[in-house]
Amino acid sequence: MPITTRAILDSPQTQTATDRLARLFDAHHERLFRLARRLSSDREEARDLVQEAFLRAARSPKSVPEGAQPEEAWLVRTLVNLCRDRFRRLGVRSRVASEIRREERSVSSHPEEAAVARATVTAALARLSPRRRAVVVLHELEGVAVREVARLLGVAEVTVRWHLLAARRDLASLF
Amino acid sequence: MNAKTNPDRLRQALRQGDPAANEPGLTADEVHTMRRTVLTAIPEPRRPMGWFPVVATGATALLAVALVIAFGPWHRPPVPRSPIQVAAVPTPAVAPPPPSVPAPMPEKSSKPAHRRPVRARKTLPVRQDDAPVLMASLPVREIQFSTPGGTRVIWELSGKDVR
Repeated sequence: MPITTRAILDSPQTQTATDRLARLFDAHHERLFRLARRLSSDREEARDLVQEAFLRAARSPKSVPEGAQPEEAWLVRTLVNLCRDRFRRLGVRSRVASEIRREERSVSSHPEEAAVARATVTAALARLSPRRRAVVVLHELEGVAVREVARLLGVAEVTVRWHLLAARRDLASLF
Repeated sequence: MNAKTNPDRLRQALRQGDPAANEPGLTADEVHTMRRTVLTAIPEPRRPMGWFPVVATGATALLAVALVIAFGPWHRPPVPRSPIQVAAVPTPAVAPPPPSVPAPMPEKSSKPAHRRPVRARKTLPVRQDDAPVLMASLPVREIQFSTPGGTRVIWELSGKDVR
């Protein structure tokens, strides 16, 4: 394979960390925010999660693997881990209780059907653990295949299927 | 809704209430602010030769300490050699020594009796005519100097040369 000028310029040796991070941000921030919005309770939290994920990439650029798919998977895993950290920090019980109270207020103040559905789904997803929630969001809402979900989260396909089965069981009692 | 029996209905319910379905993404200002925050958080890259100033400073300090030890105030400079003064000095008449007779060594009681006695060294008889021999027995001396052109001249002076 001949070595072209383009290949030399795109090689990791010549890429500075800033350029690489800028490219990483431009390529993935929209998709990551969408996922964070589905994993978090509100927009502000989603924005914080996305920023924190990119900040982790900025602080340790060598930990981000090369290539579009590996770096996307790294960002998704980082985001899910951040959700898990926040989930643990806030406490499951208090979080679920506050979510339910907030969604009940939201339901009562917005009687439209779409708002009711959104509030219900948000409250239901909030009851799931972060990883299980990520599996449900990626597979059910974003339509990502099980194999791809497993790659993104760095787990086995069997684990993804197990999470989906358990999540359906949990959510069935809520809907 | 009974989603337990029908995953498709659960999926449909989730998509109907998708929190991000009808929400706009990040605004341009939010993206710009976040991008700037992220890009300015990159740590300063380490220079590839960052260790060089440390090593150079350490080596310089070691060299300075070695020089101070070698040529410091407590260092005693070597005493310059007195110029060689070689002259033909008339050798005083030396009476010939008595014939060398090995002095009997005091025998220690611990030594075995059958041990051979130590012979005394043979000393050459010194006569007045033997001055060159004495001069030859002097140690060889060197005189070194450099010419203005940089040539280094070494003279070796032995006894027979200074006669």
